[in-house]
Amino acid sequence: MRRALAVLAMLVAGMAAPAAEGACRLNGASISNPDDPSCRDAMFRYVESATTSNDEVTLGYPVPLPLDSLTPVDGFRTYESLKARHQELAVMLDTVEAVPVGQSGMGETIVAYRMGDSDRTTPLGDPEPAVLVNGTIHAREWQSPEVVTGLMEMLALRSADGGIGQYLSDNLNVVILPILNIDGFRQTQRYPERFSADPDQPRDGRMRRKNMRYDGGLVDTDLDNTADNFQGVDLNRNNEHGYGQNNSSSTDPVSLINRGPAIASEPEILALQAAAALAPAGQLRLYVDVHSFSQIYFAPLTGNSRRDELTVQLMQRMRAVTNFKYRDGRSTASGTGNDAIGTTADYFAYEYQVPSWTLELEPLNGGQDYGGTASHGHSGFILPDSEIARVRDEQAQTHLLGFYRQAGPPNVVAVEVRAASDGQVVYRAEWTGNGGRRSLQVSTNMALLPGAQYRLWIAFSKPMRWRDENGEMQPFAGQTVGADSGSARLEFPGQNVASLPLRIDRAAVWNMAPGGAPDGYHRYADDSLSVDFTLPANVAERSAQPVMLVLDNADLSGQKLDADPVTPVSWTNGHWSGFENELGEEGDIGGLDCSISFFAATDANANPPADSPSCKPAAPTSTGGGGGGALLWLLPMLAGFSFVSARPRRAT
Amino acid sequence: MVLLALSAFALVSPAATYAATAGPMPRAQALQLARDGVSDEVIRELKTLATRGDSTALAARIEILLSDASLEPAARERALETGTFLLGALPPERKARQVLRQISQLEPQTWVWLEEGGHRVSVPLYDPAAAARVSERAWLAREAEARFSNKLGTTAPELVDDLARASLAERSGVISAIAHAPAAQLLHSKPSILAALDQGVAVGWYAAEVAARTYDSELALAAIEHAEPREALDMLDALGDRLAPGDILPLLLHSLRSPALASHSLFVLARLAPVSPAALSQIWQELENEENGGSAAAALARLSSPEAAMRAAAVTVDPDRDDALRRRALLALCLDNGDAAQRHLQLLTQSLGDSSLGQKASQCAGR
Repeated sequence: MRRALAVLAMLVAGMAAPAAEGACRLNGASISNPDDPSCRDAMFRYVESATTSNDEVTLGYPVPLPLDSLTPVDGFRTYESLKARHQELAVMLDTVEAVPVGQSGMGETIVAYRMGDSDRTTPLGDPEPAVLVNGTIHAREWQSPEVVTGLMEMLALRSADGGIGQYLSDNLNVVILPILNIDGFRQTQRYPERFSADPDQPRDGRMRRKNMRYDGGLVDTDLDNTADNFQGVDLNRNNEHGYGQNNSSSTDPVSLINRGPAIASEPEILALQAAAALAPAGQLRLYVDVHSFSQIYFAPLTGNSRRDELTVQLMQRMRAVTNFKYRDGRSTASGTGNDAIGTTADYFAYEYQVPSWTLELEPLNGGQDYGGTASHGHSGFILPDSEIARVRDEQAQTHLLGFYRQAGPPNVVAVEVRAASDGQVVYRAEWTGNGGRRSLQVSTNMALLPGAQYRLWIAFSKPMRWRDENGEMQPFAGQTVGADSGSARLEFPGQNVASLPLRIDRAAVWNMAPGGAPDGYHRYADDSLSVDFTLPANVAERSAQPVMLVLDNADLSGQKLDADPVTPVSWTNGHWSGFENELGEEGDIGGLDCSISFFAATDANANPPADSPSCKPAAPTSTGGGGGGALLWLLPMLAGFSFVSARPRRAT
Repeated sequence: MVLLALSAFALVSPAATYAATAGPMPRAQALQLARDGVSDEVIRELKTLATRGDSTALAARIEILLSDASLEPAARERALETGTFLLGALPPERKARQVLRQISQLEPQTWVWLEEGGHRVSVPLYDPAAAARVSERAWLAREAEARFSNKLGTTAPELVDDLARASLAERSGVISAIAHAPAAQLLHSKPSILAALDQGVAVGWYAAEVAARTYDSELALAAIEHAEPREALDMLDALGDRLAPGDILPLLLHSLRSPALASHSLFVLARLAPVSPAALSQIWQELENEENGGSAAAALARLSSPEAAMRAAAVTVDPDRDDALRRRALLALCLDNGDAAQRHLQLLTQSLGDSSLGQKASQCAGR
């Protein structure tokens, strides 16, 4: 418990000589005198408090030691515990599949985990999109395996929550590779308090960054056998796209950023590519490589403007979850596509044109952020035990939002109208599909009577609102969409009747219990709403007339509706496809949904009108590419609506 | 006299006058600036003053450094950080406190690239202010150690209140005092600590520390109940290596009922299992527990014994057993790299076929 106190009793006894300094001659990320025994053989030890020894480096907080525990603790788990935890999830849950994707230099099986239901299609019949998260590419960054394991635990815990977790399980393949650089990570855990060879550029033991391979051989695990302590390949410089470019890696085997002998020469990188194939790679919509430290998202910009913009938007939404304490580190050569350096984030950004970044976790500056010391600028690799649980939780929440957003924009999936008087269903329609274009299946379409009261039930493709642990509706952390968001109205095209606003901007309309229409949710908690209305008495006075439902809503990450559910949204060449606004224009923003219309008539047995209304103007009037101008159609529509599609519907 | 004059100047020169450097620089360049001959000389001087134990003189010399424009900022920060640590080892006299307070307001000046290639993000090479805060807490800890060393183990009524009020820094001092106190003396205060814990007073950390020092089971049980989970885990770890199986077992059984402690406790049980049939039996019992079963499987795998593998395989294939239990038994085989477990796993992939459990067995065998 000394360590848990997170405070030092430094210098309690004896005189200090706290400035441990090494004898290595640094040359950028390399060392000029690697064979000099005064450099090569020097060993240091992290300590909580300074002592009289010159070979100790003061952290200012207890030195974290890995602990055996499958469940999360206030601290860092051993490799064996983490591995057991991953496998526990895989064996116990049918929503977690363990897949061997490679073998490390030392013969350890590298395992990726595919999280989600066993089919590869969404409930609407579309191919499931995917995200890929990689952990522990740099051995010393212990925050990474804990955070990535935290994501797995969060997804597993939520996989049957009836809400957002279940939505992700049903609609998204989450591929997680929690520990890529197993050999390096194990080496750091063998020596949790020791490192070689210079405090100003620490290398082996607790501070190993690279893998354990070199020149066809393996670094031995004995830290005190120093001949090969500088060797290894920086796996985050071993990738296609930027390999060997931009002066950011080295051929020098003792360099911290040694890129290896060839692109993807390392088994770990091949394993990562195999993990991507589980998605499968063509379905990827996000790649995150989790590192520490410096609290920043390093996002390559490839020059594909729509991909780059969507990357920045997603990054902003996710950064907002932790109140922007993580920095925006998008690459500076925006639009040129020339600043790749061979990282895995570069690889996925350029190769698959998906949002992709290197996430550097806490701390911002180093151990001093938690009351410790700067320790030559390296203490940030050693997060205090007392901080990691919070970081895990914050990142689980952050990625929950990111995954949810990249699973796709929302769309209307079903609508039902019931008469308040007797509960009779007068309108029921559902969008159905089988991987291609969807169609609206209208199972009931009876006349709504002027002056009568109805209950309207609208279901969306995903949970649209967030609730706190008390069940109170709140915006998701850092987001703005909450109970008071969204609008809906009924329009009466071709009639001189004012539109009827529907009060959906309140928590009470959202359904958090199962049961479907009229008062339960469709598939997930808060994926549907129920609102009452009274049809104006002056509609359809002479003949059956359409009543168009106009919905303006956004999911809890602020992503607007796909206005045309006919074309399922997918991801192509760095942007959304099939994501239309109310004018039918494809883009990345979405818009108002006007896809549902029922009809009104004074005669309950009347047939529906021949034509269905739409938001689309009769003739194209906009050349915008990606939404916007959403309200321009309203004036002509109210004055005299043009019907653009004819789809006779009959009550069943 | 010159020293005093310089000190006076420093007093009216706020830390903010400390000149800022240019932007981040390569680490090697910063180190070259920091380790010039002048700063080496200054550091030697500081160490000499520290060796004499003259806190006030050392503080005065450090104060001069604060506004010494002749030093490169990196060199000055290096010297300040060293001096700050040295000062923290000496008695906290008025001048020393004053200087550390000044230093604790400084912003880092020397920023270096965290990675020399690629991602351009910088971190401070030195942070004298952070070092000052560490030293100030070290003073607090030493003061607390001195203050408590005579009180620990007494029945003084104010002891419990003082412990409950102790800051984290002071707790460090108390822990240091516990380490040096005779075990028998520490137990004098046991009744009052137990009573306080029952009343919800936050001295669980103290109970855990004393239990680890004295091996007192009653205090250890109380710590399991009342200490922060990590404090209790560290205590169990320490006691697991020191107590006889018969003594540690009741503590572990108790901790198995705590979600935060159970998993680690099962690993401690696995350490005992080769010599304690009761420990082994408990692990098997926990395999049936929905909350602890996964950890029990991992504990069994750690034993890597043919007997355990055979029993786990038998549970896995038994269709009359609960599906979750069968999966946990399978997990025990999955995690066990021993030959026996792997053999059973291969057989299971055949016997379980394409069932859900069989698929999981295949995934394990594939690893």
